[in-house]
Amino acid sequence: MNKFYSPEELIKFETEMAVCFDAAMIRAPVHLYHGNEEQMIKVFKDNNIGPEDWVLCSWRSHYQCLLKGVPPEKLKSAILKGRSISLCFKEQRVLSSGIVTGVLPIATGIAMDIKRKGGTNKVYCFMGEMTSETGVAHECIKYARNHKLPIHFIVEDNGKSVCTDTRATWAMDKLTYEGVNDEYVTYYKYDLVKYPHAGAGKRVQF
Amino acid sequence: METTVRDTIKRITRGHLENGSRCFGQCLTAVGWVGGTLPEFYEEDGMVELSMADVAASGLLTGLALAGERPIYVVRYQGFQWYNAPTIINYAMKSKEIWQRPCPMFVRSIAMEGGIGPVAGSSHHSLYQRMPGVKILSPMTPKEYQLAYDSFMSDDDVYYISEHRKSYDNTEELENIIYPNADITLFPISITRFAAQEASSILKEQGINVNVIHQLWIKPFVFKDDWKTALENSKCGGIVLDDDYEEGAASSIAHRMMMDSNKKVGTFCLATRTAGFHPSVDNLPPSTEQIVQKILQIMETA
Repeated sequence: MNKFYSPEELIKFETEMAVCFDAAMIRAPVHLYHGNEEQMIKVFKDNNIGPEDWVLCSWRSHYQCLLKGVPPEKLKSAILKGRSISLCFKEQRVLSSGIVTGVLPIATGIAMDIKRKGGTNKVYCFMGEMTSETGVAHECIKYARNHKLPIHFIVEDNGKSVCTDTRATWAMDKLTYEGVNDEYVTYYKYDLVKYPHAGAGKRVQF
Repeated sequence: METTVRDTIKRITRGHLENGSRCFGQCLTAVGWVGGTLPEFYEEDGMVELSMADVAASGLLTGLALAGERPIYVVRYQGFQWYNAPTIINYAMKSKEIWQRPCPMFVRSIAMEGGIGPVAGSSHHSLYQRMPGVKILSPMTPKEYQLAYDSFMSDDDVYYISEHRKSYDNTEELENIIYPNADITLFPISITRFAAQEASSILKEQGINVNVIHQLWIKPFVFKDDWKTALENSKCGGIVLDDDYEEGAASSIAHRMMMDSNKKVGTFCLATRTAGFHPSVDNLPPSTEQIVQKILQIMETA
């Protein structure tokens, strides 16, 4: 069973990373979460995500790593080494990528293998709302649904891709997966106001 | 009846599927079954159609390989690798080095030429050859194909198999031709191996000795001692032949041989332009006649 963190514990970890970044201890980009702690914990609790499950993420993945069971000190060490943008921990079955849509088809492929082997574990694939509007996302979600793959996609909507307004970009009032919560997709909205897209708010020159 | 390359691939694929692994790609079960190289199996047998964007399909294969399956991925036109490469190169090929998680997949990358336009045609193994984390072979004979598959099954790397449709009917093993004091040595890759052999035969009748040293392993490339001796004994050095562009595997191999020998090694590959559909604007690999002319030119100026 993975450790269930409280929202305060998650915030504390991210705050520590923000301090490290602002102190120029992390010589690479970091993407910090804030404001979605309740929803993130709920995803892990409601789905009972366990050690045998896979979690695939984008460049913003500190919370998922902690909730999946990566020891905080190990996670911190990786972040301090500049790996925040693509954190991978094979023992905990966590795979992240800094490429938009990068992990979506990989997650789908892992789910295909689990289904083939008759496994009871599952893949959880996190993405932002801009990624969820891409062609790759549509293909992967459609394929997974129709082939009944053991995978669940989580769309995290903070309203923007870096600094670009997602709805304005696509000229959509309502996004494709907005409000969708079913066997294959969980959608939630949150406001990332504490931190910018990358970094911790202070200009750090390396 | 002698075994063709086609039958060898079909037999290997059948065995791979019967052993519980799977084969993926676009339009596998369409008319022709990829040049007759696939057994007539369907999804329930492990022959899985992935009729989606190449960049998405190659990602699925990467996930399957990461999870422990050893998939065969059929890319019917080698030019489509430009759309498949992003995930295979950036995830599958880097996974073992960065995360110590091997991601073995057998990528069948099939070349052909002749009126198939600017995207699909020719070989494109150079795209992968310049990157770490992959082994590349270009088998043109039944035994070579078997060797490629056996090597993959005993390894945990990504394997890029640079095939050529014109080899599928071939039943013959291709032996190196090495003269004690040759005029020149050819190092042909892929489909140019057949033309190189023919060119050697034609020139032999004119009293010109042309070595032919077949290149099966594109990566890792090992410059064998007897090849080096053959090259250094060749009056006019050597030429690497390929049906990919010059600025790639051919140049890389030629460079390696020049660094390790006392001879110059040139290249003769696709022309540096985009192929069109009409024969007048096509871009074909060096033909027998062109190879003969090239050798005669080199010997005239030597």
